[in-house]
Amino acid sequence: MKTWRDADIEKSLTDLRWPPVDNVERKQTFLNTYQQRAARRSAQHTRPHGLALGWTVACCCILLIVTGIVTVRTLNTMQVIAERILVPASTVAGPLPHPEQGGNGSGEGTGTGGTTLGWRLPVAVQTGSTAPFLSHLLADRTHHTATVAKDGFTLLTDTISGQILGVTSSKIPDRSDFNIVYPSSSLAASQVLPALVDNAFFHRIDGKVLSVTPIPTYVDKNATLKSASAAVLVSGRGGWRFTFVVDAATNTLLGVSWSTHVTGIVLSSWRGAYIIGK
Amino acid sequence: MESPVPLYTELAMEEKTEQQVLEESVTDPGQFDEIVSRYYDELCRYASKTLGDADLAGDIAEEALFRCYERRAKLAKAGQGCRSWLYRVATNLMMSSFDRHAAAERHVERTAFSLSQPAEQDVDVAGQVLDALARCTVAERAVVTLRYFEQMPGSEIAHLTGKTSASVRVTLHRALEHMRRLLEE
Repeated sequence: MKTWRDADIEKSLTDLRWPPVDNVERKQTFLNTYQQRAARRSAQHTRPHGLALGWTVACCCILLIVTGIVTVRTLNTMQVIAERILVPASTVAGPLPHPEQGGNGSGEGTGTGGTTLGWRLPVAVQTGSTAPFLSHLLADRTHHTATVAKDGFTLLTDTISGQILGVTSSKIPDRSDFNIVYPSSSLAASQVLPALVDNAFFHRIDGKVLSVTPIPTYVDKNATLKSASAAVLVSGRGGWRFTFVVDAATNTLLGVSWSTHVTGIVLSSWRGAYIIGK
Repeated sequence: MESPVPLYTELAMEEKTEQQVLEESVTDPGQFDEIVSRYYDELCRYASKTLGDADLAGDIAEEALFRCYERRAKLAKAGQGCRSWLYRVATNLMMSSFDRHAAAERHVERTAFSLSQPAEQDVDVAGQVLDALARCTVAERAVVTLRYFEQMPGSEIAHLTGKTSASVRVTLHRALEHMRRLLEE
């Protein structure tokens, strides 16, 4: 068997004599026709491209229309919600009067169970302008609720009645990471909110609201029986329990008592008022 | 005595660079005839020797030139001419459209044609070498064709095929190794 070296192969390849490529006629044909062929091919390509472009434009138009309709509907919904739950900044934070009650003074809406139409935000709200709120307003169509955020307050609202169902707030003077949550649909919970969220003591205890109980009266430090609206039971750190007594009509905190599991009820004072705990 | 004008015009055409012709063809498509005239035969020869099929080689060369005509504006803008682009396209076309077995058969059929005018070398040896080359990969054949049939240096092959010189050397070495194994079988 012959042994092949690279040099042998290279020499064989180099020595090969190739006949000239005889394609003069074909070359001339190509020279005469390639521009027409290119034009034809370009036309063939352009047609499908035009069709695809048309379909793309049509799809984009449909998408834009659908998006526009959805956006307009959403904006309308948001505006309705915002108009129901937002009120001018000049008004005092507190419960909105029920239409049937006709705004009869500070005692309105202090009862339990749907006597108010909504809750005024205890923050500045521009009159007649809902636009700043739209970006913070998120509607949940399934549950007929919406959340509105403004200046550290987030309100969960019923989009049908306009009532506030719950509130979250991080508006704390000394602790910005503090959050209080009222996961309750009880009217009393929303009524006592302003009195608590503006209170530094309430923030300091880092508490969590356990329950809100409507109470008609309480006893102050002079052992005088006085009227109140609600008692809020709050759990604090280290097993402490705090009971805040609130006048929801005036949004004031009347007093607080606290206790531990070990020592039982301890009377104390705060804001000049003693109260009897449980 | 002949008029100097045609000579001057001819000289001017010769002196036009590939890039100039390409740029002019963007506004005047007729100028692209110059590109076709320059490279049609060259591409046919390259493809024919690589594939061993003159008809298929013509198809490859025409398709490469056709694509070049369609993309002449982009190529002119790139400023790199079109020769290496044409070779790359031709090589890719050969690699993508080539059926190895069918081509091997074609190559064997045309061996007689290729050796119709053997110089002084042994027809049997040449036939064996060509058969071995026909059984190499298209990439290997392309490099062998450019190196030995077109007598191009490695750097030019690298430029035309878009590879590095080292890559061309490796491919060439593997092609010869492959051919030796096939010849010794």
